[in-house]
Amino acid sequence: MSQSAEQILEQTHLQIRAKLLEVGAYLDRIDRADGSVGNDPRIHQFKQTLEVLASNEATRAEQIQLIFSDQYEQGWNK
Amino acid sequence: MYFIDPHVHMISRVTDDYERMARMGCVAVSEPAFWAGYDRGSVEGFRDYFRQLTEFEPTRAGWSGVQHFTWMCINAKEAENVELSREVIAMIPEFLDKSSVLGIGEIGLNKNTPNECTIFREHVDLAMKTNELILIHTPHLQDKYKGTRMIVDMLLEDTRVQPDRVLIDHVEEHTVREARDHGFWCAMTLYPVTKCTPSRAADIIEKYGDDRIMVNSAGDWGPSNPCAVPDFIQEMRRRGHSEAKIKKIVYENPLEFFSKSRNFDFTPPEQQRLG
Repeated sequence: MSQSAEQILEQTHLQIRAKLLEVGAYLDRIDRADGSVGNDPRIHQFKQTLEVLASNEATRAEQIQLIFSDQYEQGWNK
Repeated sequence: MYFIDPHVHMISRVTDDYERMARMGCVAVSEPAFWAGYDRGSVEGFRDYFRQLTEFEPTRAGWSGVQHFTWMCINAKEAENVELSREVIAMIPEFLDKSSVLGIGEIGLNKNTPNECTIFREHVDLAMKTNELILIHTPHLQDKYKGTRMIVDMLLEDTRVQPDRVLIDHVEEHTVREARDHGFWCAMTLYPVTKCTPSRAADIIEKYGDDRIMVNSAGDWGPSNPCAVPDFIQEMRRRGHSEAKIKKIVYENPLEFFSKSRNFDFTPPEQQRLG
């Protein structure tokens, strides 16, 4: 890595803040609207990703991708 | 910095885009055959499309000093029509000796269906019989992980396939390792919403290195930006990466992979200016 953790945080904290706020606002908008989507599997996936974000592993992006992915079946072509 | 966009559907873009790309340093593009936004009705429709890719697009690109290369196939979305797909595959060899055709692509999967797998394997068979490079489209969104692994399984089934003659495209954080660990080339697509952003592509480079990997805009008729590769260059510079490292990803790696094609007759920009 060419940059230190402090440098990256300094450069990106406003973008991170903006994106988290945007996610909060999206979810608020859904909650304010008529109807209920609490049982929609996509909402469950979003909640799973929030747990990943709160973890300390440096593989968050990959883990979030896998939450949104269909499962692969080993031996499907046998 | 000079760059090559190794995957862009210029047929869907205006001539001004070639000009803008050239001004930003683009010296060559490669354009895989793809879905037109509707399913074509006959093999003749594909023949006309392939003529446009091999005859008019190189001319139009040349107006801006950009060299144009292309790939032939019927894409995965239309592969559900197995009968038409087989007619198109039988017709493709008419174009394989054209001077700008680099190989078979972009073949792959869309919804990971049995018909798509059948046509994918038949495209691979054609590529092996005609000694062509292969450019592979991996599926979108939730289908990508499963589809990429299925594609790798099918490539490994065919013992004639040499991984270093295959480019697996649209890799992301969860699929890049699968492609690279088996020795394939891979590419990241820079899109505004889906696929990779320039910053995530730079993250992947930092994590997995700069060998056998490239970036592209996959500019087409949907939300996309044919000048996305310069955005990636800017992101890498901002992070302090060397010019040599950036050049390897956006220029030298595409050159190295495309040079494996007998039809890749590329004139470096320095020689173009002298000529």
